[in-house]
Amino acid sequence: MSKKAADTPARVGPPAAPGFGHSFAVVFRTQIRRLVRGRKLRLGLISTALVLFAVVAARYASQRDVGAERARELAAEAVENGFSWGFFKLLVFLLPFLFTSGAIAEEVESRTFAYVASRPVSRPALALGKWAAGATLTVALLVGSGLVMHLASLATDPATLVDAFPSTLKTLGALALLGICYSAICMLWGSMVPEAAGIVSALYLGIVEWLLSFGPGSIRWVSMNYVGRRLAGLEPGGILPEIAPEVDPLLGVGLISGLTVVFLLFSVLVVQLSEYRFGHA
Amino acid sequence: MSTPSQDEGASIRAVRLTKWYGRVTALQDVSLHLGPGLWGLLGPNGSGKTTFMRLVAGQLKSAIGDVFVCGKRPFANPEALRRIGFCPEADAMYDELTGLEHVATLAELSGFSAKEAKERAADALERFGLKEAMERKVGGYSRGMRQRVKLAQSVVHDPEVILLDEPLTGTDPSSRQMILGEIKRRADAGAVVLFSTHVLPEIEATTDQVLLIARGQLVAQGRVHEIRSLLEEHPHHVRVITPEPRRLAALVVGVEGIVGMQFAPYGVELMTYDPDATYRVIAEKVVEANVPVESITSPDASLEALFHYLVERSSHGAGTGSDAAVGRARMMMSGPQGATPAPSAGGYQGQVQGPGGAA
Repeated sequence: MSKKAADTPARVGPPAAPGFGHSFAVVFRTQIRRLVRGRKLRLGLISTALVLFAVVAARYASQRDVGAERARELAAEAVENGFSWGFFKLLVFLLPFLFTSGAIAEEVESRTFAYVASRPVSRPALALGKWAAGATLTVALLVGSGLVMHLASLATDPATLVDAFPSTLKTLGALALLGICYSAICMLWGSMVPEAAGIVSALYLGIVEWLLSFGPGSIRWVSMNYVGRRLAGLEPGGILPEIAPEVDPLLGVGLISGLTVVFLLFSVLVVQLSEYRFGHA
Repeated sequence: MSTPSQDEGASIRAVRLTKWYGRVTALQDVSLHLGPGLWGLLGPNGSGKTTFMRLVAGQLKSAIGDVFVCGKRPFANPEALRRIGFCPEADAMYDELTGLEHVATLAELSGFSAKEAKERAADALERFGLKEAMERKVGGYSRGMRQRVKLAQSVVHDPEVILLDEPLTGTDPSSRQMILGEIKRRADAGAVVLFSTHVLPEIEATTDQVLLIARGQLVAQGRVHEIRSLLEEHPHHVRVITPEPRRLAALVVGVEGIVGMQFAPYGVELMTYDPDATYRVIAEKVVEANVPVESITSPDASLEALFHYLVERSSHGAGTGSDAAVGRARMMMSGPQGATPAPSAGGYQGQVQGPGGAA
């Protein structure tokens, strides 16, 4: 330590407590920084790259010895299947799970929560900042890789590339909405049950969102994944698809958005009220 | 239950503070008022020190009673939390960040702009000897360096109440000097600094104001010598180092105030309720009879002796439970308060509380 620093008298008197916006921005930025430098983003990128590679490889492998018209159909099908299986049934679950379920839980488990909990940052800002960071990375990866898949799969057919673009945008919109919603779901379970955040989030997403999206009749309304798939214009699939409910686009968007808000509100409430003690000191 | 008051300045006030973890009582009926200055928090493992710290830091909610920091309840209360600097015991940090980023981020969360937070973080890290290492990731730091980063983040926003849970863990002697120097500097500037440690000689060298918690209860608070002098039922030990212990014993046996003696390889240890008189009598007898004496000391005037005695006293008496109230015995004594003015609520009064004690 320099002599000057050592000789300076200590000051006592902290600044005023930061506002919601300031707290949110700092938490968001820090969470993004930690995710970008951590292993989870690498895992997300690898998973996304594998899905992209599989879809693009399947699309070009199916092009042997078929006519031009059939090749065009196969290319469009490959993109649709890629979104349906690779994105709606895998990545849209995996990415929010990776980026958000541990946002609060890992801080509690690793005991770093003590640092933020003893700062004058509002707990709603803390919860929402962490959720927003996870949701941002999720949406960025989903939308970015979706665009890459569209371009890579249809690059050899410029007409289809252009014609299918609005449909791809619609699909990406539905995926983004789902990614944001699932981030809120993971956030709630992660903050409510920090000691088992991953398991509870995975169980909820697996049973309610994935399994029930294939269920018969109106039970599919429980699954936002089903609503999202229908918003994207994908076939209902699953058990008894002929009696699967139709989804009005406006209603679908409202439903997913509403559920996101509900999960977020509960997350904020849980974070606001919880002690998050670790061990019996 | 107490009601929250207006701003009380730099202070910690606990009113019958109690905390349970399920069926385990971690802290029971602790009442105290600490004003500016340096306070050592002592207690055996599992005595409730960390629970008390975390209650004050706003990390836990009390089961019964209240705690106020500068007159405000701290749990999830930004207005109280902004005045607190907390260095937790756990060796947990954001390992993906550099030391500078870690401290600057937490400074930003205290309300500083990004630029000012970075400047303050650099200054705080420099004060704890991490100027060269601050741009490296925390994950690569040694235990002692991590400890110093934790300390830097706890003072980066110039808090009025600084809570340091085992701040000397993992630090080498030179770092300890640096840390204790910085802690004292903050206390001298008007902050309430409460730090827990097992390193008794260092707490003794840094401050003589202590709180002692045992079995979840506050068993003593105040200056070491005041607490010591209040323990009237516990005779003082006077150790006389002499090559002729039996001759000395024969001289002092029967002297008023001396209630016991025991021989040791180095000499004799006398038990007395009046150490000053005993010192005087020994000196007279030694001169009269020409007994060779190397030294006369009081071994239990040290903090360590006091610590062990009070903990033992607490565990022998009533602990938590129904007998706590019965075993209540408290002695209070006003004492000199050094440079800082004494608050009205007894914050600077030496007090020893019997098991189940009260304020």
